[in-house]
Amino acid sequence: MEGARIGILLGAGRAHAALVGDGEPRHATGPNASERVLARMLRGLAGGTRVGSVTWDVSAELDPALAGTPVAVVRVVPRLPAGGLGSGHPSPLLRSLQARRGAVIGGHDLFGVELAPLDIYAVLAEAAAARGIPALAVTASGAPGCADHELAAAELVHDTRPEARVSLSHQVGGLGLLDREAATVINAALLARAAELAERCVRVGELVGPGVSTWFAAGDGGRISAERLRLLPVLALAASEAAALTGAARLAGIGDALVGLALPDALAVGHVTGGLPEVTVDRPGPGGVRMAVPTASLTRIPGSPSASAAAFALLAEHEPDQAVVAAGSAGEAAGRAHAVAARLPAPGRLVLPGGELAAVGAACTEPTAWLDTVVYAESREELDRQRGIAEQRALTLVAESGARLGSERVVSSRAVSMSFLRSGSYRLMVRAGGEAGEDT
Amino acid sequence: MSERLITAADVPALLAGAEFFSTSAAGEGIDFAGVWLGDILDHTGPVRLVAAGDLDPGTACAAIGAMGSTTAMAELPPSGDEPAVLARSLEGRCGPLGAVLPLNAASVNALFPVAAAALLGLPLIDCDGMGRVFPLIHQTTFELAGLSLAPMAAVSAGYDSLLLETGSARAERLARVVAQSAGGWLLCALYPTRVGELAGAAIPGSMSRVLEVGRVLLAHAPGRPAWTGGPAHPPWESGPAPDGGPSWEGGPYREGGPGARRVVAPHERLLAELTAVTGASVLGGGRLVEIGPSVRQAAALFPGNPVGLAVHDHDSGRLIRIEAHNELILALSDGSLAAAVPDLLCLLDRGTLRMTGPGRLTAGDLVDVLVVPAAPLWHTIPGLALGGPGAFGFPLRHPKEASR
Repeated sequence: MEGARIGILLGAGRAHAALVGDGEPRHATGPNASERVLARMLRGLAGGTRVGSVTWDVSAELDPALAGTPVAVVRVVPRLPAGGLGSGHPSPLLRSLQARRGAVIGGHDLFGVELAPLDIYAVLAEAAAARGIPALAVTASGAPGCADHELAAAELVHDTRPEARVSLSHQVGGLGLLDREAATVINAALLARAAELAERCVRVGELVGPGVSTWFAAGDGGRISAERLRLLPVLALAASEAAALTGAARLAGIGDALVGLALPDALAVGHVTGGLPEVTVDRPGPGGVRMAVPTASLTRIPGSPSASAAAFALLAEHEPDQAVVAAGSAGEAAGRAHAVAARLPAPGRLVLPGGELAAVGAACTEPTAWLDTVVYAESREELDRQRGIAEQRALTLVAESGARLGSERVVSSRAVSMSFLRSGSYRLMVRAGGEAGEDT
Repeated sequence: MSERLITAADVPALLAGAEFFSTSAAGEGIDFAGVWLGDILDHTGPVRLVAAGDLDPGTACAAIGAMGSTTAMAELPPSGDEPAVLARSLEGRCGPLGAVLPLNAASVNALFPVAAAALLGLPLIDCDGMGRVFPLIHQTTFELAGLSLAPMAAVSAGYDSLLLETGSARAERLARVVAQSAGGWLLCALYPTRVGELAGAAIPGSMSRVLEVGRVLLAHAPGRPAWTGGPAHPPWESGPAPDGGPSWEGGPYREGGPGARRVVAPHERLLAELTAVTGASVLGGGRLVEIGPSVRQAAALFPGNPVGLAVHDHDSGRLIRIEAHNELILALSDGSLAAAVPDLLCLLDRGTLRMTGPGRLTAGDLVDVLVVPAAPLWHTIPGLALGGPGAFGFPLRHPKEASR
């Protein structure tokens, strides 16, 4: 039998937990301290209720500016940048993480056609030159269509530098070399920290009770396993925002909602559909860096509470879904939430959980997967076939992420015609979800 | 002299303006070009933007523009020596270039010519040949004026290079095939001519217009990366709002002074400024109720696939149906033709206050539909023949043509 779910948000010195079971959520707050202290707090929160899972929101612990290690960046492209011009990234965060950057010949086009053979000697030279740098990020053009050059480069790096941690861009996913490379660099920088966190959280779970599974809230509103966090920590960034949206809708008892999250200085507005936050891949991530990774789509409305209230009421007026306004435990945020709720057209809902919204949302998350790829289909039938294959891949990813067998479903599936490529070129974006098997 | 400088600080405005003039389809996902151009300008210093009249009429010049997919470009960015390859290719036929100009100041082609000018150390002429995005490289005012597209030099990100000596339509067809095989895009130098020939053949002031519109959009658009001139903090992070930050700052205001009741939303404020700057009109706005492949059979000549959109105009209750094929081509309001190419149709996302298009949109999103009048050259009979609805396979007359 599935037990209650705990969500826990690790923040600066404090840990906020919520237990979501049959009745109203229960909350607990304590120091973000040793494993035993955290386990004691969670056992106290459970108070004898059987716990099935603990889902951790560790996004605050994964700040690349504080927790990132230096990274050697290797870009694989068919032609090397002329004099290095145009290959730099303006983000101070990325520049600070990059201990070295190099480029080697290789890469594919969007459809997986090789544009230049991989220069293996250059890869070996880059690996050797990166000696002493703990992590490498390898990004090849066209890797979403064909990852062969990234995989070959990883193998060569491993042979030369078996101790180095390597991130490959096709694992991070997404189209656009620059954005994917940014995500891969941040991912590589966080690998060591993610491994520590995963180990720590799994141990706390074991101390909470036998059979308690450990999960991590993801930036797309889903959850990932400890295994996946170790490999792809970038997926756990911005998890608090997505979890807060999920938590607000869940507490309001609504699957589809326009959600306003009250903050001390602003209102952040997003949508929840089918219990999952709507996501985008072009929102700025840590340090303002855009990454090809889906995160909750939020628009910030700064200004006074009354200004937020007027703006949100205007949005709600044009919205077919019910409007929900929610706040966490901060007093100022609650004041803003009350002001916004007072202006909402009926039947708007106000949610004040008495604890951290993100902790409630983390407890409610389910495994998800996101696929963003390009296909060529000459006919409608062929497009449907290719789309079916992509959807099946996404469902498999959800199952691999720990979804209960048979619970996997396609949440959304879009085939977008690609401009200025030969007729029949489509970008497929598939989002899939499932229900967590708590005993995994 | 009307010379001014384009610096790295202008890149955010260039990007935003380039998205606007891309007529919604081709401007999506072009931020990579801004990062690339910014890095180049940081190294080379500013580019001189000059009016054609400021240069010696005998100066050799050529239009610079990329053809192909912006998604392919984002996946396979330029290496930086493409402009030098193009200049060398043309030099043998036309002599050394003394200036460059944009093929079309929109989408990535508002940025690549700036990069070319920077890398070649040449001035950029403040004009273009489309004033928007068209799908075919010869749908230009240069063509209308009788300038020759060839010789045309082209180079891929993989360093494949070619020099075409052929007619305009043939050049388009041949280069399109090469672009597809060379990674999805080519950078081209075409319509080589003398500066004196541009009078009456080019749309003057195009780059300045892109910058002006871009500045309007930047002043309103929340959520852009910090270095593109938007808020210094991602939406969720707390922190001070930047100067001239998001238009939600201060919230909506009440129109009509004290006692007036109508609340003016941020998108309405932005629309008012955009229409004032561009001469555009707002066709309508509301919820996108339909988006998907169009049932229309498109001419094989054009890349991409036809897409149909429908917007429910909130105020009037009318249904605005939009036909897109790479860019937005025409709009029908309750079945009547309301706007069509060569005029620009642009979609504004009310949520993000950014220009948007079929690649980003899903049913349920709130958008406004703007119609921007094309340059007068496009409203001539030859202009409508080359860039009007008929050129895209629609058996319809442009509203201007119908009213003649």
